[in-house]
Amino acid sequence: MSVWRLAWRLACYRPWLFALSAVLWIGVHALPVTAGLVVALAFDALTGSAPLGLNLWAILALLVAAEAIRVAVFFGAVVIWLYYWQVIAAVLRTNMLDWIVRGPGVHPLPGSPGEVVSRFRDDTESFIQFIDTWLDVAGTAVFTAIAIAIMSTISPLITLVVLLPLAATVAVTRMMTSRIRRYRRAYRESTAAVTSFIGDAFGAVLAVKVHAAETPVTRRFVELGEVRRTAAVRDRVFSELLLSYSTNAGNIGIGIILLLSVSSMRSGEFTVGEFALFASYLTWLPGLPRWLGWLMARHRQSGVSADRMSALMEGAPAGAIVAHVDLHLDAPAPPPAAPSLATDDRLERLTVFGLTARYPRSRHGIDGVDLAIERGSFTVITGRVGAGKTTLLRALLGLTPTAGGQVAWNGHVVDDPASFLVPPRCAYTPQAPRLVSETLGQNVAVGDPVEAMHVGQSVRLAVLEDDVAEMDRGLETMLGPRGVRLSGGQIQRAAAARMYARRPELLVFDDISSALDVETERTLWERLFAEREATCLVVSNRRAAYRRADRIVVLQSGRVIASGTLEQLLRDCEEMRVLWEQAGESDGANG
Amino acid sequence: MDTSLRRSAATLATYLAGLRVRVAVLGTLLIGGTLLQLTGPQLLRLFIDDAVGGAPAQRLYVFAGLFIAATVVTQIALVGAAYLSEQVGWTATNRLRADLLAHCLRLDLPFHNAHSPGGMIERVDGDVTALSDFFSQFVLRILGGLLLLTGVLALLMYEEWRVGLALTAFVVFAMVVISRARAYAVPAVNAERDASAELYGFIEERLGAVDDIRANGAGAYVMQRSFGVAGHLIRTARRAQILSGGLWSLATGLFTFSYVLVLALGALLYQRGEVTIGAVYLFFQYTQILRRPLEQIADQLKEFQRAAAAVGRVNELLALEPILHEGTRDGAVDGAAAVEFDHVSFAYDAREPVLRDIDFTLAPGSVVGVLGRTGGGKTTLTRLLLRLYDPTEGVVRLDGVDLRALRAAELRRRIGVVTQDVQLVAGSVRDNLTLFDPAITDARIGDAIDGLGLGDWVRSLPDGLDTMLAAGGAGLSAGEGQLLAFARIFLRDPGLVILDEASSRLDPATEHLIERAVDRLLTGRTGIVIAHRLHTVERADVVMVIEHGRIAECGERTALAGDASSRYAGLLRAGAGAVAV
Repeated sequence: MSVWRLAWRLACYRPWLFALSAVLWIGVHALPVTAGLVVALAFDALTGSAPLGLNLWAILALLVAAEAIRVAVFFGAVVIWLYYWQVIAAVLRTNMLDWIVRGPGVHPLPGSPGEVVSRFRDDTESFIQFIDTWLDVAGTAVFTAIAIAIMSTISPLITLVVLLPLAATVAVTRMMTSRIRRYRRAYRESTAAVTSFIGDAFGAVLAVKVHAAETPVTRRFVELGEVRRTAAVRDRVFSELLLSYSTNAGNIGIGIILLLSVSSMRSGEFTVGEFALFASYLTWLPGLPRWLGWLMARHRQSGVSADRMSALMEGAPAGAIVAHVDLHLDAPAPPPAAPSLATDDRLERLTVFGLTARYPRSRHGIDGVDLAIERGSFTVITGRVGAGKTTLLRALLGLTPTAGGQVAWNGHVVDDPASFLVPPRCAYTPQAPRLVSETLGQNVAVGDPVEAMHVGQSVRLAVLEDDVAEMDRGLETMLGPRGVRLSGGQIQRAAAARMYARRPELLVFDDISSALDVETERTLWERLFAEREATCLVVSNRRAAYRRADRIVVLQSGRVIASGTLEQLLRDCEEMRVLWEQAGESDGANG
Repeated sequence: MDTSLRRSAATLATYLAGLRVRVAVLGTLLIGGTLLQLTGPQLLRLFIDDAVGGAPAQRLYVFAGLFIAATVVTQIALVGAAYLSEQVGWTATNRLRADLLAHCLRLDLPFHNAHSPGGMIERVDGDVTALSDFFSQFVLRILGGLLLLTGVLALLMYEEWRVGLALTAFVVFAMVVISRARAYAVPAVNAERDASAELYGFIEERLGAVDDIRANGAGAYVMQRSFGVAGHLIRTARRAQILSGGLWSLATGLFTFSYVLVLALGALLYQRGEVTIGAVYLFFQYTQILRRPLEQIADQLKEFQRAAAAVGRVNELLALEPILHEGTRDGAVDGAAAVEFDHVSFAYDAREPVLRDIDFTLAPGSVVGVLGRTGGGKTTLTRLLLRLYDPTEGVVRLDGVDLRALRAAELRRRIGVVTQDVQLVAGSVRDNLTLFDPAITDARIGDAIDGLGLGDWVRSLPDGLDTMLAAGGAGLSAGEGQLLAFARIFLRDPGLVILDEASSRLDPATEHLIERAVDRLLTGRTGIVIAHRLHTVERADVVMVIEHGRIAECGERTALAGDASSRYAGLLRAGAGAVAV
C-alpha cells in the first residue's frame, strides 16, 4: 500500500476530528489574506487614493477583528490537531504492539528492545508529520489561490513575474529530496545506535560495574555520539538551507516588484497601499512551495518510517499498521477473556516432523528433528551446549523462524504454532524468563480474571510460597525497576507459576533448574505430579529430570542422535553416558 | 529571566566553555545577518518616498538592487549561523550526554534497580536531545530574534521616538505577560514528558519479554494495560497542548495589537505632517519584521518549556551522588588477595537482615566453597565484596584495607566475578569480552580464550571475534554466554575470583571443558565459590554453610568431610547434591 493511502487511512481514524483540524488549519493559513487587504486599505486611505471612502479608524478596527479571528482559529487548530495527533500516534503504536505480542506467525524483533522502541517513538512521529504537512499544504494552497486572484486584478504582469522565483523553489526542493532522505536515514540510524547503546549499557550495568568498564563504555558512547553529530548537522543544515531558500524567494520577489514598479509608482498608477499588499502577500506566498517541498521530503521520510514500522509487523496484511483499532479512550479496556479449551484441543499426542531452524549469524540450529509427545508423558531433551535444545523448543513454539518441518496436534498439522501453541493448549517457561514491572500476582495471573483467585495455588505448585511469605506485601509486591528485584531462582519459579496459572495441556520448561538448588527442583517436580495430570516437555541436563523421564531425546549439533528411556540410552548411547556422568559430577557426590 | 532559564544557561555555559572560537564566529554571523535584515525596510522607505516624490528613476533602481543584494547576503549569513549553531549545540550536548552516562553508570545499584534501561534512554538521550534541539533553535530563533527585536526598537527610537517608545513599552509588557504565563505551562509539559517516558518504558519492557508474553498467551493482557498507559499520555498531553497553545495565541495576539498600534500612531503623525508616507511604511515594515522573531520566540517557548523541564531533570540526575563514597587508596597489591568479613550484617533497605554477623577471614591463595539455599544470602556476600552495597554493620576488608577506603576502580580491578545472570550487550564478541576497552589486545584475548579452551569455539564463529551478538546475547546459548563471562575475568587477572553459581547455567559437557581452566584461574589466587552443588566446591580448601543469613558451619573441607557430625558430611551423605539443610 502506498504511503499516501496508509497515511490517509490513518488520518480517517476519526474523520470528523480530522476534518475539523483541516478546516481550522486552512483558516490559520488563509486568514492573512484579509489582514493584507485591510493594511492596503489603510495606506491608501492615508495617501488619499482609497477606492472606498472608509474612515481610517474603522479600517484599523477591521484589522483588529481580522487578527483576533486568526488567533482564535489558531488556538483551536493547535489544540484539536495536536490532540488528534496523539490519538493516531496511539493507533500506530497499538497496532504494532498488538502484532508483536499476539499477532499470528513467527516474527522475531528486528533489533534490540531499545532500538525497536525508537520505531514506536520516532517513526510514528515522522509518519504523522507527513499528514501534518497535508494540512499546511492545503492551507497555503487556499491562501495562494486567493492571493494570486487579488494580485492579478491589480497588476497581472507583476504577479506573474514575482511568482517565478517561487515556482523555482518547488523544482529546487524536488531536486533535493533524495538527499534529504539519505541524510535523514543516516541521522535516524545513528540515533538508534546511540539509544540502543544506552539501553544496553544500563541493561548490563552490573557487568559494567563489576568489570570497572565505565570509562571504556563511555568512550564507545562518545564515538557513537560523534557519528550522530555529523549526521544530525548535515540533516538539519540541509533543511535550514531549503527553508532559507524559500524565504529568500519571497524577499527577492519584493525586490523584483521594486524594479518593475519604478515607473508606475512614480506616476501613481501603483499606489503605496498596493505595494504594501503585494509585499504583505509575498511574505506568506513562499509558504506553499515550501510546504510542497516539505511534503515531498516528508513523503520520503514517512516512507522510510512506514517500512521500519511495518518491519515489526512481518506477515501482517497490507495496511495493518493503520488499522482502525479501538483505543478505549472513553472507558477502561475490559480485562481479557479467560481462554477456554475446546474438546478437540485436549492433548492426546503432539508430533514434530523434520523440524529445521537456523539462527541468523550463528552456526547453531536444529536439523530435521522428529519428536512425539504422548498425553501425560514427561519428555526430556538433553545435549551439550549449543546442541540446539533451546532452538528446538523455540522453533516448536513458533518463537523462531523455521526452515522446514511440521508440528501436529492430535494428528492435525498446526499451521501457525505461534498462535496455536498458547494457553490453554500450551505454555512455556524460557531459560531466562522475563517478568514485568507489575505486582508478583499480576505477573503470575497475567490478567486472567479466573486465575487471579487461584494465584496462590500456582505459586505453591511452583515452590515459591515461602519466598512470597517473606515479601512485605506478598503477592501485591511490585517487581521491576520501581519494586523488588527477584533472584534468578525466584524469577524462574515465578515464571513456572505463571505457566501453571494458565492451566495448559502441555507444559514446556527450558532448563528450569538452571538457577534452582537440587532440592527445590525435586520439590517442584514432585508437587507438579502430585497435584495434576501434566504433560511435560523439558530441556534439562539434570539426573532428577533424566530419572523422571518417560523418554529422553539426545541432541548433538542440532540433530537427534538417540531417543528412548534412560536405561536404553545408558546402554546404547555414548553421548548419553557422557551427559549422565557429568550430570552426576555436578549433582552431587553419589548422584 | 527566571530560574529555569538561568539554570539552562548555566548548564549550557559549562559545556560551551571549550568552544569559544566557534561561538564567537557564530555571534558575528548572527549580528551581521541581523544588521543586514534591518537595512531592508530602510531601503523600502527611501524607495517609496523617492517614488512618490518623483525622484530620478536611476536612484530607484539602485535602491531596488541594494534591497535584493541585502536579502541574498542576509540569507547566506543566517545559513552559516545555522550550521555553526548545530555544530556547537551537538558538540556541547554530546559532552553532556557522555557525562550523564558516565555519571549514571557510577550510581549505586539501588538507583539502577529503580530505573529501567528504557527509562534511562529517555533521561540520558531524550532529555538532552530536547536540550540540543533547543540550543540550535535558541541561538537561531530566540537569540537572533532578540537581536532583531533590539535593533528594530533602537532604530525606531532613532527615527521617531514616540513610536519607538510606544513599541518598546509594549514589547516589555508582552515579554512579562508571556514569561508569567509560561510558568503555568511548565508543570503540564513536565507531566507530559513523564507520561511519555512511562509509555516507552512500558513498551521497552514488554518488547524484552515478548517470548514470555507470546508463549504464555499474555498478549491480550499486555494490550489491556497498554490502553491505560497510552490513554494517560493522551490526556496529559492534551492538557499541555491547551496551555502551550494558549500561550502561543497570547503571544500572537499581543503582536497583532502592537502592529495595529504602530500603524495608528504612524497614521496620526503622517496626518499631522510630521513623518513621510515612506516612514509610516518603515514603521509598519519593522513591526512586520518583528512578527517572525516574536512568533518564533513564542513558538520556541513550547520547546523552551520542554528544554527547561529537561534541564531540570538532567540537573536532578547530575546532582545524585552515589550513596557509597569512593575511597582514595590504591592499597591493594598484586597477587592473591586476603579477604576478611569482620562481624558483618546487612539488610536491603530497612527490611529483614539478609546477613547476620558474618565473620571469617580468607588467607591469600585459599579457596572457600559457600553452600546454602537459594536466597540464603550467598549472592549478597558477593555484592558486599564488590562494594555494590555497604554493610549495615561491621567491616569488609580486602588485603587488610576497609573496602570503603579503596578506590572503586581499584577494588574492582582486584576482584573478578562471574554472576548467575550474564549481561551481554549488542556488539561483537570482542566488545563483550573487553567491554569496549581498546587497551585489551587481540593477543591477550587469544591467550584468555585459549586458556579457557574456548579457542576452537571462537574460531568457529562466522566472523571470529568480530561476530556480532544481538542485545541480550540472542544467538548464543546461555552456556555460551557463561563461557564469555569466564573469559571476561580471565582477561583481567584479578587477585580474588568469585564464582557465583557460575556453573549452574553450564551444560555438564561444557562445564567439564572449563574445569581445568577454572583450576588454572584459581591457582595463585584467592577464590570464593558459591554453589548449589557439592561437586562445585570440591576444589575448595574451606567450606562454609550459610543458613538464614548466618554462618552455620565453617571449616577445612577435608576435616568437615571426615567429621560425621558436620553438616557438610551430612550433605555428602544425603547425596544428589541436597544442599539445602
